[in-house]
Amino acid sequence: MKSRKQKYLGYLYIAPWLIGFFVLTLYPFVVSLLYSFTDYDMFQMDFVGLKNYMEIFTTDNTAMDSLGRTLLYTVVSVPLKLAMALTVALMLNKIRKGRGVFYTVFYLPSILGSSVALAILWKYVFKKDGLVNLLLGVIGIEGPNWLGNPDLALPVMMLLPLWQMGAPMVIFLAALKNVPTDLTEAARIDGAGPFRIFWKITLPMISPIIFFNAIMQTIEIIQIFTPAYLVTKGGPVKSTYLYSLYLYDTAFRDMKVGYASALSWILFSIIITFTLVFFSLSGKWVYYSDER
Amino acid sequence: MKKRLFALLTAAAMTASLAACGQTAQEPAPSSEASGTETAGTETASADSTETDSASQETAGAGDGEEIVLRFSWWGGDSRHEATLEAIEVYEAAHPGVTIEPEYSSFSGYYEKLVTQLASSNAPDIFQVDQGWVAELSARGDAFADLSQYSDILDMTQISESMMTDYCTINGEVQVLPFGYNGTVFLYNKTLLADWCDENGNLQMSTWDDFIQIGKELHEKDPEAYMTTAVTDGYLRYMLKPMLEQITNEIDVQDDFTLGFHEEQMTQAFNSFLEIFNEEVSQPYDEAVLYDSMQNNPLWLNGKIGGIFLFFSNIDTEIAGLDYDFGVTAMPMFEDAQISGQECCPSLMVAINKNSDEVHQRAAAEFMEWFLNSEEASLILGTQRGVPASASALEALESNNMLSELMSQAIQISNDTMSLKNGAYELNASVKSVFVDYMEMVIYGVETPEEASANMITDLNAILQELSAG
Repeated sequence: MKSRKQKYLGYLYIAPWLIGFFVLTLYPFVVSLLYSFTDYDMFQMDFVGLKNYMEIFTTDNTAMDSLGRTLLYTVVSVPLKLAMALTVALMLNKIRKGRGVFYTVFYLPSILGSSVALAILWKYVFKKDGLVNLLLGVIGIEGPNWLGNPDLALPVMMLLPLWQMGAPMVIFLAALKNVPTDLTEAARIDGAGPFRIFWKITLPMISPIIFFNAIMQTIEIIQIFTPAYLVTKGGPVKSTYLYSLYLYDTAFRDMKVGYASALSWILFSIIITFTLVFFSLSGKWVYYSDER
Repeated sequence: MKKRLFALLTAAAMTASLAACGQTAQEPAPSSEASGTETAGTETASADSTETDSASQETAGAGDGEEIVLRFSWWGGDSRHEATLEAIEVYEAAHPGVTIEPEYSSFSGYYEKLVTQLASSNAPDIFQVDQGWVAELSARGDAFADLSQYSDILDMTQISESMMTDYCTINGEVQVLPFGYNGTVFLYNKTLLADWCDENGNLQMSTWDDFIQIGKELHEKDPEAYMTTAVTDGYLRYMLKPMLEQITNEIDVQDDFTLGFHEEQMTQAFNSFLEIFNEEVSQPYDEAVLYDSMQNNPLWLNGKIGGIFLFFSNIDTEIAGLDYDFGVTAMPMFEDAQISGQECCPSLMVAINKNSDEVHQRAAAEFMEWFLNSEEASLILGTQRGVPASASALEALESNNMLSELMSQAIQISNDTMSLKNGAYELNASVKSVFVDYMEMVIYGVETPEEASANMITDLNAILQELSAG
């Protein structure tokens, strides 16, 4: 009897999380699916069936443009961010002294909220008279107006997530520590150079972690909102108008909550599909040491 | 399976109890706030019982001698918040039993919150609204109480008749009242533009041609300096739209959901507008828009901008801390234009919630009478909500020298200028975003003025059709 009571006690302890999950995640999740079949505008609601979805796919160019832009953003940003995280992890793995300081320094940007402060900072770094152009000026190059130029604004925004590579970095670091030293040592004795060791041993050994990080980062970046909203508001000429920004405008500026819900469910389906495809392909390149 | 079921039930129970907690936690809040003010003696009375008590007891007359809590929401900056809170304190001190619960925030997100509150019948008793939202809110919900039923306590004759008919009265009901009114003028830096001013320091500029000519000469003389700059919204509201209105003599979006311009007229407006950039009269658009206000645009702060278009209530804010000599003048016009295209309109509106009961509405009307018309309130509030629309409040400010010289001049200029009433849907958020999108495409050369006009009209008509369908 007593042990049963204790079992329930556990649920009580995690109740704050459970409540948060049910009220703030599951409920909106389900309700948004229902809304997506209506024309809800915060005042009244009529069932419209698949009309919202039809409209998005057939006539809504803004949705398709912003979706394409977002996919491009994801395809470029995710590998860059992973490469950055892995590079830093490799370097941190080598150093012996002052490791804690470097860990903290590289992890710090990831703690700074949902990147609001960083986004604002980014704006100042890339202004016409900002830090980047100041540095370029030192070596005699007149820098462009990065954020005001429709061709440059999106690439500049793609670099922003690189700052916040703290989470994947820490995971990579843990994985690197688990690469068996007998393998690398044997390779070194056999005459393999550091690059070859990395390519033939380290990389395959940490491939499950690369896989995990790739999925997590893709899910995160495909929904990215803050930088575009704060730095450029989607401009110039919509060059940084990402999908989640369009979703926000549709819901809260145009008050088309039903339509916006449909937009969000399309994004959700894309993420799910992507994740499943990624999983099904993982057998080809991910190495699990306990599988023979 | 059993375990999972239990987890679910626990969670459901917790969820329910959370909701219950939420309610009880909310209710004592007003009374605890009331205890901080003059009504300390009755601090134990919960807001809930107060409301029902007063509703059942009171039918006629003002709410003397009983507890009433009014919720009042507005948006603004710190100085507006401070002034408003001070006014509320003074009012509460003079009216024991009335507690005004302030709900204030910045502009961003205010509309979203208000609409959500209205949808869930939880809106404040008194709330500030933007003139651009009035038509939509009025048409869609039962948001606004008819203020004319309280004309015995709320003196609406202090507000000019034209403003009452143009902006406040809808379907025979007075649905909103203006806090203040505002108009667009050109605020210029006399120090920088001395060469183009007469001996009295007045800028010699009345047409767009003058404007562009001065801008060209200025930029030639000092390559760092430009005649003007703006934020994205400003380029639309103070330059492109006035140009269009001057061409058509009509407001761009009519109240019957049609457009007040043809394709050729829009093209013409775009072409004139582009000249401002092509002739380097304005700071390049791609640089200007990265600053979200004049106060962080270095060119403006360093006195390298000839002048800016603005609503005159913002004059004092924009020149704060700047050591130049400033002047104001009217909007430039095309030579054959009939109307100026300036916006002269109520700056902020206030409404009483239609869903509040009569006692609350009546008390709210009493508070508004004091807030809008009394000398006491006007002296505290100053021009925090624009130049007061109420004649008595304006007089109070004038007789106490609370209007700056520039502001008084600007009011005069604005009053002397022919302008059109703002359309009900002109400032609708979706409508405005279409204008901004095409304006940017033209500036960046993504579309020619001809293409942009045609496409913009198509997009606008689609949105207007949706709006008219409700």
